[in-house]
Amino acid sequence: MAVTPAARRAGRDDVIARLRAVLPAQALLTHPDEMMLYEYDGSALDMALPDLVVVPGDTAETAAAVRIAAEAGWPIVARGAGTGLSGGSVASEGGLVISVARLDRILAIDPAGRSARVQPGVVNVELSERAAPHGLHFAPDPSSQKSSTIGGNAAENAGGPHCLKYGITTNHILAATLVLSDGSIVTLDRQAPDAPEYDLLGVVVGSEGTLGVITELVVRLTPNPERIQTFLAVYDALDAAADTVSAIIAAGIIPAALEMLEGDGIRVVEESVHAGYPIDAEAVLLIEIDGLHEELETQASEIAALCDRHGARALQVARDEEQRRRLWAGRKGALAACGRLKPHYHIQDGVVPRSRLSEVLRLTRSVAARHDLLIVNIFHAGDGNLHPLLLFDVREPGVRERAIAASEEILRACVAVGGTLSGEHGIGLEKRDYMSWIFSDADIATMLAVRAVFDPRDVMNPCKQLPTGASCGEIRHAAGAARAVAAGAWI
Amino acid sequence: MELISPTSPEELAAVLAQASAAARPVVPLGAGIHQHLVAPPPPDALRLGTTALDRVLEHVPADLTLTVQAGARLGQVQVVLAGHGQWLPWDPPGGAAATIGGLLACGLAGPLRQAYGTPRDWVLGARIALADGTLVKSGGKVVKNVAGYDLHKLHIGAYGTLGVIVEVTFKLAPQPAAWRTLLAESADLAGALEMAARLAAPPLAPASVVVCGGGTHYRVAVRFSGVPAAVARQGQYAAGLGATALADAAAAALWQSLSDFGTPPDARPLVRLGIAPQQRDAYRTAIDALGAHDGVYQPTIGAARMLCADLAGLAAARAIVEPLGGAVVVEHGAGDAPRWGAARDSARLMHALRQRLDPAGVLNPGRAFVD
Repeated sequence: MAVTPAARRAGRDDVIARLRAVLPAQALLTHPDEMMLYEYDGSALDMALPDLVVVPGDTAETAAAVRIAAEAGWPIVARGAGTGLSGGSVASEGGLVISVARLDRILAIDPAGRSARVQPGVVNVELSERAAPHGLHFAPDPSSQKSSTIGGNAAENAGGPHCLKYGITTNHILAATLVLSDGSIVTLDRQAPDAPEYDLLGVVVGSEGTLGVITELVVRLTPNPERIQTFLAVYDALDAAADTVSAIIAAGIIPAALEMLEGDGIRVVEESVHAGYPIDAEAVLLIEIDGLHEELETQASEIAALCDRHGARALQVARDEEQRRRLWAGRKGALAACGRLKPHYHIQDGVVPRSRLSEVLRLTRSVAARHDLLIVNIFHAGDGNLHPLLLFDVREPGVRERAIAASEEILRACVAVGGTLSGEHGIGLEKRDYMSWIFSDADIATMLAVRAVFDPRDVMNPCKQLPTGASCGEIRHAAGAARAVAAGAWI
Repeated sequence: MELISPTSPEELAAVLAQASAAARPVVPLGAGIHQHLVAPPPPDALRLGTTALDRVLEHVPADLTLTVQAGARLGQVQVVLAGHGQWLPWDPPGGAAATIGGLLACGLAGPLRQAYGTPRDWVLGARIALADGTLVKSGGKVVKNVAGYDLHKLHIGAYGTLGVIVEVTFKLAPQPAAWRTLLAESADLAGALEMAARLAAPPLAPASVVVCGGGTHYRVAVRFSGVPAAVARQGQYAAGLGATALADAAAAALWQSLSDFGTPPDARPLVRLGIAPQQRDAYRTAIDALGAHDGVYQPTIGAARMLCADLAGLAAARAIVEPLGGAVVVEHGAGDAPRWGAARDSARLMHALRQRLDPAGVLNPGRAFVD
């Protein structure tokens, strides 16, 4: 169990001395001014200043730091780029933050094995850039990919638009080196097929830093498609767009990406990004298909027929790479553009069955109206992963409470139609106390039992992801919600 | 041995609770087709069958999702899905008659894994009966979900040592519109492996590439799936590399035999090898060391399953493969030879996990790699 804040303060000098003995001087941050960068993540849901921050340079330094912190009973929070949206990298219980910023090397790219060995601090998009000469890329493309790290992606089991066809991060992690809370190092390697071994790696990916600190990864690289085609389908009615999405999936077509923007979001995106979206549209679909030439021809004609049958006003195809880039810039710039509507936001991340999209989208609109909030849906429609964006101005009295109530109502509706709490942003702090909506006490107790196997001391990112009923603090909802926008994040 | 076949997950869980209380070993059992893959059961074990839990609980064609009970047979489920133009792209050994729960517990996959991956990539969630009789679930029924740990993955390939799978939800795939199979021949393994590598490289994207045979006669089988024009183009390209097209009926029979290789086993030792696919030299030399009589090889995956004359080369093959993170497992006919090979780096965690989830040690004790 983690010790009290008072005990941490009392033992801090001792911990500093022990860390100094095993880390280079520049790898230890002790002053509040230096540590302020580490007190929040992309959600700005909660803020907490860690007791100390270390920036180790290899697995051995990481293991040494973990052992010292764990022996002192301090919480240990691993941190990538801090772009998470559920509070996973916030040191909500204080303790030691381990930044992977110096573990930022691509160690090897193996074109024959279609894999790469990387340190956890490698930025997602950099790996795809480095793999490009081999005709390969790293498929998970979370919206934060220009800044988020592969270690963070693995910890959160991150998604992204192209996960519709290529699967989320867990499908692309082949091995991980993990530092456990006793300072021991274990390699979970699934590069060899059919090994006689429990799939511990499959549990570690998506465990949000609660089982150990990842210090090295082997990831799958995916061959670049022979051809890519991108469409913009334009609608005068939200239902028609949602029904098109359901129809495409029901027809057995799995596009590479199938994204939706609706309502006021289209207008502000167009005003700020000039992506080429019609500003009077009620909804637009961004549909991307990739694969072999012949596959694309078949899929393109099927998709065109389905868009037409479900009432699309227009269907444009990107003529060239520049137009494709602009269409995507609109989607990726949507979150930032919505800052023109209201200064603050809260993003939901619920998932619904693809056949239930239109009813849940309608519900988000009625919820927003009832709570007197502005709502924009910009999301991964193809896999039913909603991102209703609740927009507000916190200076308005009571509005934050209304936004939280509306958000919960939408999430409950997702669960009620057979969906889930999070498609890609994680549980973290934000949804920890909602886990009982979808899991029984026994389900959660089993997950906690598995956590205890990895971390018997309960110091690895404690109080995150699973409700423990233990001495975890209340979740505080911070006010400064516009930070991620300023950082250029998208969802 | 006593056989109990519960008709509900609750009943199955209650049997486990009683067995745990009495510390009586339990052998979870599907159709019983793959029991030879683990060590023989303890003599006083209770056989706990899942074949009465065989219902398709929910198939939502428009969502491409399926929830089934663990005792449903894969072949029958495929028939249901085919009626909607869908399928599970999964062709494990004995797959027609084996139960879905048993196939998952044994972690089995077939030649389709080249393009479609393994069930790990298709399972969205599961319901598990734990040794103490608790029924728990993880994952869910939607295609994207990061709520909680993916504990269902632990049970895939665990041979029932962490719990009994009672219900599974899968993501489904649309059935490809067209198929084409081609064959090439080689007098030696090295030539066959080289051909397989060429048939799996861009611009080809095959559904399966398999080498089969032994001694001085090897065949390389490749199949393409997808829209007819793309399949035709790849078929032509493969023909240009020296492969010959096979008629549909013969192709279906061939792939069935490749999937089912070694199932049921004969008197010869059945050996499984797995190594990271980029370790091509080690893959070939380990197979040579085993002196395989006959085998089915997926070099682009790093997998092989072989019938060997004896196990004289087992230690040598392991010495090649294990330092590179791979494994050689004697699936059947091990005799006195060690079945699983050297302990892996995760052994301590695996033992702790088994101890935590099955403290009475009743689930397949002594039969799998963890004991």
